[in-house]
Amino acid sequence: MLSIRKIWAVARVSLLELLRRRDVYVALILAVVLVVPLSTVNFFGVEGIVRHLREVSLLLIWLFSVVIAITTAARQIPGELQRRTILPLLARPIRRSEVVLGKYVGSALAASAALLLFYLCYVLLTGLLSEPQAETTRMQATLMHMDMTMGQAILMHLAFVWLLTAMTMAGSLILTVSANLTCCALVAVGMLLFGEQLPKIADQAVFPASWIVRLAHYVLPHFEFYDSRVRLIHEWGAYDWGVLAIVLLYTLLYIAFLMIFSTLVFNRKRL
Amino acid sequence: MKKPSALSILGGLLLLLAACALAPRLSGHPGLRPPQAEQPELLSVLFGESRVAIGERLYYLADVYYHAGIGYANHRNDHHHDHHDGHHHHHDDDREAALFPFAGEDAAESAAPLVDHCDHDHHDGHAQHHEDSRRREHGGDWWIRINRRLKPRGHRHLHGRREEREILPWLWAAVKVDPKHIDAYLDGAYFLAERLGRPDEGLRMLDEGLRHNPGSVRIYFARGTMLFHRFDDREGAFSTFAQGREAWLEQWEDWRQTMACGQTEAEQPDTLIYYRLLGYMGHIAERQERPEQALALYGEALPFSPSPRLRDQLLARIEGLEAR
Repeated sequence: MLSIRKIWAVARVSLLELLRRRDVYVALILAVVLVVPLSTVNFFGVEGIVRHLREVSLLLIWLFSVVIAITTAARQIPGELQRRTILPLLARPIRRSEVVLGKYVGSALAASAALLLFYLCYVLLTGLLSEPQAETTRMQATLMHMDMTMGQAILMHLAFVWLLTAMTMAGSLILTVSANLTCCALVAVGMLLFGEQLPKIADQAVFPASWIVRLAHYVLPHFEFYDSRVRLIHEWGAYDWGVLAIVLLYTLLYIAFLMIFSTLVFNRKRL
Repeated sequence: MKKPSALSILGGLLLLLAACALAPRLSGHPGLRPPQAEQPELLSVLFGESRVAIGERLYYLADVYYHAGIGYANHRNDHHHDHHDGHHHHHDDDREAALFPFAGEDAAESAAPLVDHCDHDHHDGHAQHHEDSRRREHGGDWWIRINRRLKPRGHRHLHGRREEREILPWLWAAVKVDPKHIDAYLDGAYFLAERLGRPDEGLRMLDEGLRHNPGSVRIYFARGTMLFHRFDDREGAFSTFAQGREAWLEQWEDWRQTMACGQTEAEQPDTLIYYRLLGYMGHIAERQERPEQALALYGEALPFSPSPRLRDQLLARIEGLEAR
């Protein structure tokens, strides 16, 4: 039986490690440096234009979330192996599966914390820059951005980060760090951009490319499910809870599969 | 190391002084400037030749924003073209009503069908698109079905000034990156003047477009109609239409010469816009009690009538003027 206490002990170390790193703060400063000057551009003297700011801000949030999730998860176990600190850790009464899960939970929580910080800045920024309605104050306009759609979008993005972290963690046990970083970044960005079009691409391609694309469609995680940017930017309203539940179930099943795979690989690994 | 002599220091200082004195004179020398009418935009210089593709992409994003974030990529080759033609040229049957300013009872009223017809055409295009989408709606595996339920679908336009202003950043960026993107100037001016109630800004955008594209008949035409309908400036409109006519005649002459050289693939200048330019000019001349000039302009327009009905209409107008 897995011990939650032991898993949390390993996770806490990973979480603290991320807080000590400065990646998140650098990303935050970079986002502010890019978005704030953009908000001052005068478009033909017309004021209150916000959607392009939402577009750029959300693009940066997605970009940074991919970078932070992948770089955090990819270094966890290989780092321990490289520094040989894995041996004293495993000398304690802790299972290998608990180490893998602890590392995963730590990375996922760290990436989630960074993501929530980004979204907090996003809500504040877009809320403050948008034009308040006649009967609302600027603060009320800011709070209005924290609606159901925003909550669901954050939940979907968190699910994306958890899945990406799990995939990177699994990759870190079978690939070198650089190869894993490259592959995970390619899969994440590729699926975000082309995931929805894969069946159409497969139809238009010739054998064997068509088979490979179709296989990718069935096997690779569909990261495009989680992209709520259009919904948020153009105010399309909240998701249907039923489909949201299906996506979250899909995420949990995929993460469970990846964690079982990671545990099996790590159990067989010679240290 | 040997110290420099006083003479070499003095010589060096003199050369520096000469260079400093010469620099301001040379910087204004026409021979040193690249052969272009205007100082290029920073973004345009930054992107080099790729600016055309980037400008087109930014212009497409404006269209995507107009449809609340949903791109109609599949209709790019047919519908999208119609959509933008719809805003500025009008086409087929609906076109006739807006060809001449006197199509309605009052010249100002004739602007109204421009918007209505364009939206009508626009919706027709989308209706077909959504019919296709509905046909594809059923079938597909689990992943396709989930995506279908997650991604916003449907036909929605930005509505009202608060929403429609959101397309401006992309049109702004499109003309900054590619100052030759005439459609972006025309759409930007249209939205500013007609939808956002900022005709001054719309006119300024068209002026900027003309600065970068001095021979654009389409921009002259848009500027003329804006001055005519939005500013009630008939003199200004007439003069702009006249400049457009000159530009068109130059292009027509160039085209004829090219054809005479045997290059039959050369694109013929748009005769419809010429017909409309002359129509507006004749109409203004008529209103300003210059019937001879109006007659001459209508006569010039007659061979370019786009349909027999409009030709008959124009002939009746000419006969009416002659009878006065």
